[in-house]
Amino acid sequence: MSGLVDWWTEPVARGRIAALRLLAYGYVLIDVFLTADWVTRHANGPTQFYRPLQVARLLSLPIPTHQFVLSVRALLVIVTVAALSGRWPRLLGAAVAVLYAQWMVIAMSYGKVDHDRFAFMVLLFVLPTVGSARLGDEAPSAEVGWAVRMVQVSVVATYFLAAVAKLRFGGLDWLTGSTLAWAIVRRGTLFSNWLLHAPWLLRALQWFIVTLELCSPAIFLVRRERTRVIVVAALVGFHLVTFAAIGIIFLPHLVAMTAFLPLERLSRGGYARSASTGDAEAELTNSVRVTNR
Amino acid sequence: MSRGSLIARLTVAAAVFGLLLVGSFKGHDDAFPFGPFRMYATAFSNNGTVHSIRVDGIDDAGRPLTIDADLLGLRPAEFEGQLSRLESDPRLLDGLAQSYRNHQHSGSKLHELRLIEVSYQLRDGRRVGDPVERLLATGHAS
Repeated sequence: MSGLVDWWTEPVARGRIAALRLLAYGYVLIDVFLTADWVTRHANGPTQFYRPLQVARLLSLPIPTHQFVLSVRALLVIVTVAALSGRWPRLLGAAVAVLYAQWMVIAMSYGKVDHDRFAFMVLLFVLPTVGSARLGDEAPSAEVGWAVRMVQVSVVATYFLAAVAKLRFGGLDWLTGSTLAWAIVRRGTLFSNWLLHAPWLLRALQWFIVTLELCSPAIFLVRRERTRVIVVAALVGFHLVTFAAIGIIFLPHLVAMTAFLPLERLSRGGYARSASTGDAEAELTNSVRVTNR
Repeated sequence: MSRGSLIARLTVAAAVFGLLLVGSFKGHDDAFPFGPFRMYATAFSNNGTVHSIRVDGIDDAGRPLTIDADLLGLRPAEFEGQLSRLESDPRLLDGLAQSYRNHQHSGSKLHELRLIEVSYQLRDGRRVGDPVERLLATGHAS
């Protein structure tokens, strides 16, 4: 039991939270305006198409009228920009998490639910459980450890439970059927349409995907940091190949996955110098290449 | 970390992942964010039919009109998620067409929305033949 408790709160450097804040809050803005700009579309459709999720019914959340959708978006953007400044991390962080959750309820209440957001939403909700944190701060903390572990377990659960869902809904037929062919017929690209002529290869890929998903918890057995970085890079590669094949990429999930990386090595030059996700990512690449403990 | 703070954190962890497990084995999409991760989890027969949905527009003069997804307010997958409702209640599509027309500020105006199902046949996991189109429902605006 105490081993499990220690595992859940294994200390992690505070700097990792500072970096995760930049990535997460930066991505919220990218998501609202770019990668999930379709959520704003729901402001235009008639409200009869709104099919509130269970959580929306339980909490009696408002029906997303044109005004409501645009107001939630405006508030979310303002609060997120404020949170990026690093001030009042608990208060502003909690506000971003709640507003983003409401934004996601609007997103998913029209007959289609996406599954790339669980770990990212957990990330937003655990960030405010840690107080101020500076980039590059290597001082370990159990509260950071818990927050990081929550996100890491969420990322792995997304893979593992995706395999469970395939076996639950598709059964063993999922492995030998034509789900990937179906996906490529509907959303195929220049890079994947040729695969429709090689059904055996698509079936082999189906086996590979389920195996990969079921084995994902093994990342917790990796003790060497360098190996863990390689595993994360391989998973990113898997998502890039999926994107090339059917144009779907789990970006919020990938942002959450950075919780596995030694982000505390990012810039000690202070907040201002790296106050954008672009810089943060560039520096991440450098620090991963250069330093290895 | 204080004992109380530790207990609170472990309780939250147990609750979040407990709900996710229950949702994954027993729940449905409605339970978001704790529902099953069922994107692409359905099995398709190697000799089955692949369907997808397309929305076409017709303007007042009877000419084809390119549909602007932002004005429509729904993603194609959301049409698929509500297909049975749309087919059983044609007024829904009328409402959508009218709302689209009301949001149009320029160009020729939308008169009719056509919900079209496109089907491809698979044989032994390969696509065979040409796609077959079928009109599922129409909605009108004025």
